Amino acid sequence: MNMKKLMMGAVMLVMSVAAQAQGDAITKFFSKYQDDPEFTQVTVSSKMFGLFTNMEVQKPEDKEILEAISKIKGLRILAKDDARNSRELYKEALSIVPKDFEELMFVRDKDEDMKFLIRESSPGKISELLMIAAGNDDFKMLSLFGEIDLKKVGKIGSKMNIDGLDKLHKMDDKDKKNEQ
Amino acid sequence: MKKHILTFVLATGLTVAFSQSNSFQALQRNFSGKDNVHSFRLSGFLCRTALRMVAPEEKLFRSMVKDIQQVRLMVIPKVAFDAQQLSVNGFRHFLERDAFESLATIRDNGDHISIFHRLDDNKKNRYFVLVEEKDEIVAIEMKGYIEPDILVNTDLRTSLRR
Repeated sequence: MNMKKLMMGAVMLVMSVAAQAQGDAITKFFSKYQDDPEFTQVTVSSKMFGLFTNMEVQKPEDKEILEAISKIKGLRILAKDDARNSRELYKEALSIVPKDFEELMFVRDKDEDMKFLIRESSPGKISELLMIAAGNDDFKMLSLFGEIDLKKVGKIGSKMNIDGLDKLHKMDDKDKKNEQ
Repeated sequence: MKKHILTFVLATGLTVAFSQSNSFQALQRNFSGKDNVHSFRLSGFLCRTALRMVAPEEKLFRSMVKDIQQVRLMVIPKVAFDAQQLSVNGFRHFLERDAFESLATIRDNGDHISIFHRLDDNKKNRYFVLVEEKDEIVAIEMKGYIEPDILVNTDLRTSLRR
C-alpha cells in the first residue's frame, strides 16, 4: 500500500516537473528577447484582470465577460515591428511550443499568418492560449493563461482591446454558423 | 487671526502630505531640490484641460485620466539615483512594501514602464506609474479611477511613450 502511494507520488512529481519544463520553454523564449530593445514586451498580472470585476456594466452578458476576464491569471506579449526576420521568429516560436498544446485556429489575413494554440486543463476549459503571428515585417507572440472559457474567448479578446485576440471573433462566427 | 491662518496652512500642508503615498514622499525626500529634478502636482481637472490643449489626438490617454482626481509627477535624472546609490529596481520593491501591487510592465524601445495599483484604506484607488528611460526616471502617482480595459489596451504603451 505504502509502495503504491510512493510510486503514485513519484509519477505525479515527474509529470508536474515535465509540465513545468514545457511551460518554461515559452518563458525562456520571452526571456531570450526581453532585454532586446527592438522587441516590445508587455506583462500583465492577475491583479489587473481582478480589477475588471469592479467595472460597472449594464448588460448581464457583459457581466459574464468581465467575470471570465477576472479568472485570467496573466498575459504576456512579445512583439517586434520592422522585423526583417519575422518569418524566422515565427518558425522559432512554433518550434518551442510544448507538445501538450493543440492548434485551435490558423488565420491567414492578407500577408499575415496567425496561429492560435491552446492547452486544455479539462474539456472546454483552457489553461493557456498562445498566439503566434508574423507578417512580412512584424512578429507577435501572446500568451494568455489562467482559467479561460473557450466559448467566451473571442469576446474577452475584443473587450480587452488586445491586438490579435480580436481575430478570435472569427471562431465565435464559425460556432454560430455551425449552430444554424 | 494669525493663529487661524497658521492652523489653516498647517491643515492644508498636512492634507497635501498625507494625500501622497509613502513611496512618492520617499522620492521627494531623496530627490527634491537636486539638479534637474522637477516635480509638480495637478488636479484631475487641470490635467484633463492641459491634455486637451497639448495633445488633442491622444484620445486613449485622455480617457485614461477622465476619472482621475489628482496627479503628481516627478522627473529624476538617473545620475541622481546613482549618486545616492539607489536603484530603480530597489524603488519597485519599495512600492511593493508600500502595498502597491504590480498591474503591468512594459518594455519598449529600451524604456521600462511599470504600472502599480493600491486600494487605500478609504477604498480610493491609487495608481503609480514608473517610466524608466535611458537617462531619466518619471514617477507618476494618480488618485482616482482608471477603467482597466484602458490599462490593458496595447495602444496605451504608444501613448505612454509619447
